[in-house]
Amino acid sequence: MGRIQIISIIVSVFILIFVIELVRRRKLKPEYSILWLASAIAIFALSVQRYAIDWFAKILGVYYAPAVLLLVAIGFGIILFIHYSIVISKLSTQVTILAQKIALLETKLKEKGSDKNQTD
Amino acid sequence: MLENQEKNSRVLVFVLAYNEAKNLPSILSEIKENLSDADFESKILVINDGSKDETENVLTDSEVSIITHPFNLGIGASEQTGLIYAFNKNFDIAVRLDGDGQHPPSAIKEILKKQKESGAHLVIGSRFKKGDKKGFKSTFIRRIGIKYFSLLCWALTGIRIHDPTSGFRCYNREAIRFFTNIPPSDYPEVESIIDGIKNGLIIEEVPVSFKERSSGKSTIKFFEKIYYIIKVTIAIIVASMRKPSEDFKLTHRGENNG
Repeated sequence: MGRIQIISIIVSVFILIFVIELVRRRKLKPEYSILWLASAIAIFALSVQRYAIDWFAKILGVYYAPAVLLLVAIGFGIILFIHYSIVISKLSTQVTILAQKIALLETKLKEKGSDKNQTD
Repeated sequence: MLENQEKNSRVLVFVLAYNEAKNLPSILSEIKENLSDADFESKILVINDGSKDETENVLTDSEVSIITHPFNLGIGASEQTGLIYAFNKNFDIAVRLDGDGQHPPSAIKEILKKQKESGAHLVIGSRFKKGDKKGFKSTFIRRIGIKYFSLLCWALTGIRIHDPTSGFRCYNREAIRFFTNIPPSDYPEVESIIDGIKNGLIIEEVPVSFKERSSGKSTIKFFEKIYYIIKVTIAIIVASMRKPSEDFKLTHRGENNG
């Protein structure tokens, strides 16, 4: 077992435990933990199963088998980043809608107020 | 719908303002002046997009209301706030002007007239439509940019809009409804044209002589221009790939002639 594999086992187990702990403490919503858990489990599985890695390496034409680990990790990283971009976009749309609503309500209140003043 | 056009419609004129305290008073009084002898009911609204200057304290009266965003939301959201207000208050027509003084209030009537005659959903006050020989045509670079977007619009939809970047525009009730129901985009002008055409909105243009900005800096600064071109290009190409909105069905669908 190569050194990189031992390191990646340790790191993936650490990520797994860390993410579960974050969810347990309600610091991370379960829906946002799914991708992290999936990537940690995938890296863990590849690190433990030597043959899987060799097989992937052969298919992909990678000479140095453990590099497949990096490839998988980077792949998951990209997916995570895109996922976050989507979440941020959604959030910023929601913030915009909220701010618009507040501004409209404020004006509505003011207009109501001035109507009252006129009739009083 | 055509009957509605015959009746005297209620018109909302809304001004987008971000740090425009200096320009606003003259624009507002000019709008009032131009609407004073109108045969329709009108209201003026200022959308203060989280200005850091005194924009919020610009004098408002029974004719002029102001909506203040808690922070800067951008042109698209500001425009949409105006349209939501128009929709909620049952206005038939909404006219957007920018608070920097580029859009001459004297052209509002012309735009409204064109809307009434053509029944178009969206009427754009256009800098380059034939018929306008004089007036401020903006810088050379900007003209090239506008030409570029005009060509891109034509390539994507087959419809020629001479000044797709113009923010001087008039929405009828259905266009108001349409644009209040899609998420606002920043720098929304060109994208809204593509979205509109894709959903069957009829767009018309009226030649208008723009004025040079009265005071203050342009909303689009140098580096923003490059960002603007890239962002809007991506936005409109993607917009042209969208299917017509499922929840928006026009009651009066027409053909665009460009």
